[in-house]
Amino acid sequence: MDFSFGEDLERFRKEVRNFFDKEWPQELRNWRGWLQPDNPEFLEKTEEFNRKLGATGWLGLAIPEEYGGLSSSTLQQYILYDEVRRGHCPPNCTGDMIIFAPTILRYATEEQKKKFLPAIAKGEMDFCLGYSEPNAGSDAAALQLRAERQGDFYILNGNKIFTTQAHIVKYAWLTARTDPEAPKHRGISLFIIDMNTPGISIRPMYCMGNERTNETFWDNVKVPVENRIGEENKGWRYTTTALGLERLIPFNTTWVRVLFDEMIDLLKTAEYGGWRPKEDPYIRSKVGEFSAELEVCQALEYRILWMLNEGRMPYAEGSILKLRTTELYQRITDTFTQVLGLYGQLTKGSAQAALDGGLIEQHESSIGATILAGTSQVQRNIIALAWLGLPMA
Amino acid sequence: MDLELTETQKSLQTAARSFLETECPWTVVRDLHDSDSGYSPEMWREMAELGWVGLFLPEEYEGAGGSLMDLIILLEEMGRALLPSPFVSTALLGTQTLLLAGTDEQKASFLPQIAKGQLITALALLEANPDYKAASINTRAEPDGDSYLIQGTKIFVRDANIADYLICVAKTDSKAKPEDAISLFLVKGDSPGIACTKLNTIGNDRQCEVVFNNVRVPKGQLLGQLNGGWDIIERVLQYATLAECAEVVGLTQKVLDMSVQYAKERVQFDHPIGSFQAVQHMCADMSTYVEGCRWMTWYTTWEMEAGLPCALDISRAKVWASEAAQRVVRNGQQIYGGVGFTLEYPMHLYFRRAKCSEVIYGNPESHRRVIADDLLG
Repeated sequence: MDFSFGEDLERFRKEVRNFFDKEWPQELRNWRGWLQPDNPEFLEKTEEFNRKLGATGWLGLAIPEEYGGLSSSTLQQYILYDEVRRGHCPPNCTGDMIIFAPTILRYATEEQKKKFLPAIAKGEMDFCLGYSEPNAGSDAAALQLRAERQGDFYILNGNKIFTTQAHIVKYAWLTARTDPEAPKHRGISLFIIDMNTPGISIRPMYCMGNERTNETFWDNVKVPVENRIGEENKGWRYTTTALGLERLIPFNTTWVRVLFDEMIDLLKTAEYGGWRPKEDPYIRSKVGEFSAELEVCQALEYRILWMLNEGRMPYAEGSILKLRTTELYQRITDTFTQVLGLYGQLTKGSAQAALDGGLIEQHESSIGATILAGTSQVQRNIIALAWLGLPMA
Repeated sequence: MDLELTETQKSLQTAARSFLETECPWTVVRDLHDSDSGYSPEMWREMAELGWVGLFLPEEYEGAGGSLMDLIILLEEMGRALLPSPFVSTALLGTQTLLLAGTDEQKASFLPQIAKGQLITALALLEANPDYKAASINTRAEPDGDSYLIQGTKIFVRDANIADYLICVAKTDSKAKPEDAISLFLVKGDSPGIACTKLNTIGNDRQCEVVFNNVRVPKGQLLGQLNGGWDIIERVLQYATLAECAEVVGLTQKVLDMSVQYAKERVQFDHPIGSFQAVQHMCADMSTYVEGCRWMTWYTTWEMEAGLPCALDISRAKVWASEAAQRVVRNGQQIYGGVGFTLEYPMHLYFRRAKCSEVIYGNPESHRRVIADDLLG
C-alpha cells in the first residue's frame, strides 16, 4: 500500500504552488475578493489570473491531447484542483476542466468536442451551473424550465435559482425539460448556452458569508440544436453520473485545513488582556479533536482519489466524505468563534476580529456547505440506501 | 406548585407579540441593523408608553411594579422578534444598578426618566480580557478635588453609541483584592474625553469600544459605596444572563415555528418535506431544545424571585440556552435549505443573533467551568 503521490507529482505540486503564490498572492487571498464578485477590481484581477492560468495549459489536464489538452492522470488533475483550493484562487478556474470537460468528452458529438474542449483547455470558456429551480432543490429532477423544439432551435422559458456566477461567466451549463409528458427523470436535456443570448435576465441574490448568487429568468431564449449535449431527454443521466473529480468538488479537505492551520497560527500568539486561549485546556482538547478529524477526512479523500485514478466510480464514498468534511467545517468555525468568547463575534473592520474577520465569515459560509451540492440529509439517504443497502420506506 | 402563567402575564405576552409583529417584522430588524443608531427611537418611545421600559421598576419611580417573571415573559417576545433596542441595557442593567446602588436622590432623579423612555443607559464593564471578572478591570478612577478622573478602555459595551449615561465600572483601590476595589460611576455619555467606536459584530448589535481619557465625573455621580461596586455588578449580571436566556427562548421558539411551517409547505419528491423522517427528527430535536430552554429559564427565574441560591442554575440555563440557540438555528437553516442561506429570508438574522447570544455574559465553556468548579472543588 502506498498513499504517496510520487516524486513527479510532488514536483508538479510545487510548480503549481509557486505559480499560484506568484499570480494569486497572499494579499488577494486575504482580500477574499472572490466573495465579493460585484467588485470590478476583483473581476479584473480574476480575468487576468484566468488568462495566465489558461496559458499554462494546465486547464487541459483532463482533456486528451487531440483536443488541445495534456491527457494527464486523475491524480495530477487533483493536485491542480487542490492547490486552487489551498490558494483561495477564483472559484471557476478549474471547475470547467473537472465538471464540464469530462461530460463533453463522454457524451458530446465530435464536432462539439472540437469546438468546446480546446477552448476549455485554454481557459476561454467558463460556465455557471443551471440545475436548481425554485421548486427543484433536493428534488433536482422536478425542474420545470421548458425547452421546446422549433426547427433548428430550442426555445427556453422558465426560472433558475442559485445560478452562481451567471453574471460573470460566458456560458451556462443548463438542464431543461424537453418532454413534459415523460416521467420526470426522462424528459430532461442538457444544454450549453451563450449567456449573451437575448432573453436571459439576472437578479442578484445575496447570501450569508458575503457571497452572491443569482436568480435567472429565461424568456424565449433561442438555443441552437447543436448546443444540446448528448441525446434529447437523457440529460438527467449525464448530470447525475458524476465524472472525473466531480465527486470531490463540493468540498475537499484542503479547504478546512487551510482554515484550521490559520487558526492554529492565530492561537499560538493570541492574547487578550493577558488571556492566552492556547493555555485553555478546553481549547487544547478541541484542537486535538479537530486535528484528528481532519486527518480522517483526508484519508477518506485519498480513498476516493485512488478509486478515480483506477477508473472506478465512487458513489456513496463521495457522500461519506462530503458529510464528514462539511460538518467538520461547520463545527470548527462554530467552536472557534465560540471559544474566543466576545472576540469571536467580531467581523471584518474591527481590529481584533479573528483572521481579519475571516473566521466568522467562514462560519457564515459553512452554513451553506451542508446544503449545497446535496444536503447532509440527501447524503445520509445515499449512504443508507447505496452503501448499507437498507430498504426504502 | 402552580406552573401556569398569571392572567397578567398571558395578556402581556399576547399584547407584546402583536405589537412586535406589527412594529418589528424582520425587514425592520434588518433595516435597523443597517442604520447608524441601530435602534428605533420611535419604537422605544412607544415601548415606554406601553409601560415596558418601567415594567421591572417599583411604582414609586413611575414603573409598573412588575415581577421578574413578567419581565422574562416580555423578553421572550423581544427575542422572538429579534427586537433591536437598548431594553436590557437600560430597563434591566440600568434600572437594577440604580435600584441596588443609587442614593434616594439618584433614584428619584434617574429612574422616572428611564421609565418614561427619556434616558438610555449602557453598562461599561468589560475590558481587553472580557471575562466578567473583577480582576480584569484596569480602568481607574482617581479622586481629583470634587471629582473623579476616569482613565481606561472599555470594550463590548452594548448601546454605548446611543446612551445618555454610561455606568462605568472602575478600579478605585490599587491595593485591595479586585472584588473590593471596584466602584461604579454614572457618566454622561457626551462627557469630554469619551470616545465611542462601534464594533462590527456578526449580530450588528450596537456593541462599542469606549475610551475614557481623563473623563471628569463629579463625586455625586458615584453609584453606591466606594469600592463596593462589584457585588452590584455580580447581581445585575445574573439578571442580564437570565434575560439573555429568556430572549433565546423566544428566538428558538420562533425558529422552530417557522421551520415546522416551512416543512409543511415545501414540497419536494411530491411530498411536503415535513413528511420525511429525517426532517421530522430535526424538528423533534429542536423542540426538545426549546422546551428545555423555556422551563430551565422559568425555573431559575422562580428561584431568583424566591431568593433561593441560583448562581449555578443561571450558569446551567445559559449553557443550555447557548447550545440550544446554535442547534435550533442550525437545524432551521438546514430545513430551509438554500433559501435559508440567502439574505432574502429571515433565518440569517436568527443565526447572527444566536452567535452573539452564545458569547455574551460568558460563553458555554466558561459557565460549564463554573459548574464543574463548584461540583469538583
